[in-house]
Amino acid sequence: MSRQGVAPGAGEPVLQLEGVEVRFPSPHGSFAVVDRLSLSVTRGEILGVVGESGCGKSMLARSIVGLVPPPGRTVGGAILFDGVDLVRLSPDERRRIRGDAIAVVPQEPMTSLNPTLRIGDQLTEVLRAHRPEMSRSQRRARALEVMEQVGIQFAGQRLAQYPHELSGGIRQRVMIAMALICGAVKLLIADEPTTALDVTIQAQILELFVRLQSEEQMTVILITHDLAVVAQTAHRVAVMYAGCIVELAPVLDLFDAPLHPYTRGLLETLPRRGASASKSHLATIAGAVPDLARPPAGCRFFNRCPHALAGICDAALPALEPVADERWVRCHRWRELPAVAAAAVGAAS
Amino acid sequence: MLLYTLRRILEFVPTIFIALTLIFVITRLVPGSPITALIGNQSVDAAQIDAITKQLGLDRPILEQYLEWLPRVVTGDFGQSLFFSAPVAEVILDRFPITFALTFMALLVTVAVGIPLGILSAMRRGGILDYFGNVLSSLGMALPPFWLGFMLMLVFAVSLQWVPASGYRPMEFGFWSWLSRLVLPVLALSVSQIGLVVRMTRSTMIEVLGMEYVAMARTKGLRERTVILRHALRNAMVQIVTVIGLVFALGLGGSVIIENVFALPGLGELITTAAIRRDYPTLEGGIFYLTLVALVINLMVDLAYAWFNPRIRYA
Repeated sequence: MSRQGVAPGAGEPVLQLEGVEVRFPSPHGSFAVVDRLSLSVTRGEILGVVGESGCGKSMLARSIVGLVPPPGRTVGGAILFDGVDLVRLSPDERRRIRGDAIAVVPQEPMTSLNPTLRIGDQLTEVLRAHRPEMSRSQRRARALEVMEQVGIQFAGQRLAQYPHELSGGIRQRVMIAMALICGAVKLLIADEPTTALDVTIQAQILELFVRLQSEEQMTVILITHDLAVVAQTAHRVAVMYAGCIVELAPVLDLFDAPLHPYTRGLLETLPRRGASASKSHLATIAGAVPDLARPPAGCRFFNRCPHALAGICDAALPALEPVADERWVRCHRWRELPAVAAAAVGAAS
Repeated sequence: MLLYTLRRILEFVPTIFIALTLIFVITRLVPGSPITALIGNQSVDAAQIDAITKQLGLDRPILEQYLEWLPRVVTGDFGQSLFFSAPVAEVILDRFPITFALTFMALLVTVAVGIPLGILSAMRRGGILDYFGNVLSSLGMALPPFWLGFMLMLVFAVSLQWVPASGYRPMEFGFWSWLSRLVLPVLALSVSQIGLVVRMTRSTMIEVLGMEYVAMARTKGLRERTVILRHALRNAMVQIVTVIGLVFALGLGGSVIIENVFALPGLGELITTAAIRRDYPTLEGGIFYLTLVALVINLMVDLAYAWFNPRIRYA
């Protein structure tokens, strides 16, 4: 799949996260699901955010649109979107940005569509909220136009249908059309957009994302736990673990030479073509994400890391340090870790 | 939707048949006979009793009575009332507007208070309003309507003298004159219904507010009012409407007691007296009428249900 658009690193940032912290209260004190996270997203790029369930990917997305579900809250940091700090805006100002300049494509097109409203109503209500000056017929015309753009056939007919009458692939296209309908989207956050779809539809939807990204000159944050999805679409990848970014790299570099043991672990879990049948069991990363209510003092990956060294790794949280141009890693031992393993993984993927 | 409606109406036929049969059997199973009630304390000889029994057809076998009765009743002819010397249909139509006014106004009050209160409780879950809503709705459901009726009467009619305590006056005597006699019965009937509706609305709204399409509606930048009313409430209505239908049916039953408490000459009061006097035709007609109303309400609920939930229209 070709990757048009802007080369990673070029151009100005459209979104800058500075020390963003999302906390949830709990009986044992509050815990951070996104922990002082800083990240810059460049205009026109597709940034993949990967990690296991519960690592904070989705909460990061919700924090950007200002919809962290209560009792959770974005407690600190700045979210600069086109230079404006979203955290300081009033709820109504944030609402005006949602669905217009920043749009979200959700994971589950079935449950994210209201079963009691027609597709047309669900599409055009976005325009009613953000473009009150448009007439009914203008809204309808725009809905048809954007449905065509995302490759929905018989668009006129679809407008009168209910979600349960559509297939999963079409429903996800409707969700994408919904994100684009205002025609001013600068940042599209796709939260596991293909997880609920079967593989052939998944490929079509990803292709659509890549096409739209270059057509609309928009920036995409693609959240997924599926490295294959990232490999096909993203320019740059942020690997998240327990609320922190542990590695940030251009996509090819990450797959060629992963630096963080967690990234390496993730890559090893990918099924490999040509592996002999007798050894075809899938690799896993043992253990689970640590309890965020009582985060460890040291590296968050310490208890699962094959290279962990007591006294170093569990003493202090490593910083996200620059390694090379455009490459960052959060690991005390990245320099010493055998490059051989990295090469082997890189070759296999 | 039309096909669905027709099918639902067709389903009435067996229901009505069963209801009629039950009405016939149960009235006749009640011990005592209309004749002893008719006679009262007068001294009457056996020949006269026989004559009346024959005239009413009560001497024939019960099955024969039933087979004669059923086809007649299906056409809406329940015969003459034994006590009002008028056709039963006429007596019922005379009384029904009162019962309808009472139950319908109680339903309006219930919906107008219960649904918004339920929505607000769900939106501010755990808040002060939710807390008081909970306490008051439990209290409302726990208070027996007849007792509440007497208390309302004591406070608003006896002490404050804002409204008359009981009785009924048709609307021809003035709207306020009519309404003032219905205010207390409507309140007494709606309080317990409100409790039920608040709780149902609250719990379904809480469930629906947790749905992904509600989160998505917010993500689209819709106003909170639109999110609540258009996305959440519309889905919650599917279940709320069912409860409203149930509440109306319960209200019809409750009206029997309330009409007696407030001396309203409605259908409920008619049925009670007819039952005491063993006025079979009036009793049967009255109960059948209530059954019909309940069936129509059920149909309306089903249609509303289909309207709110497109998935079942085609099922």
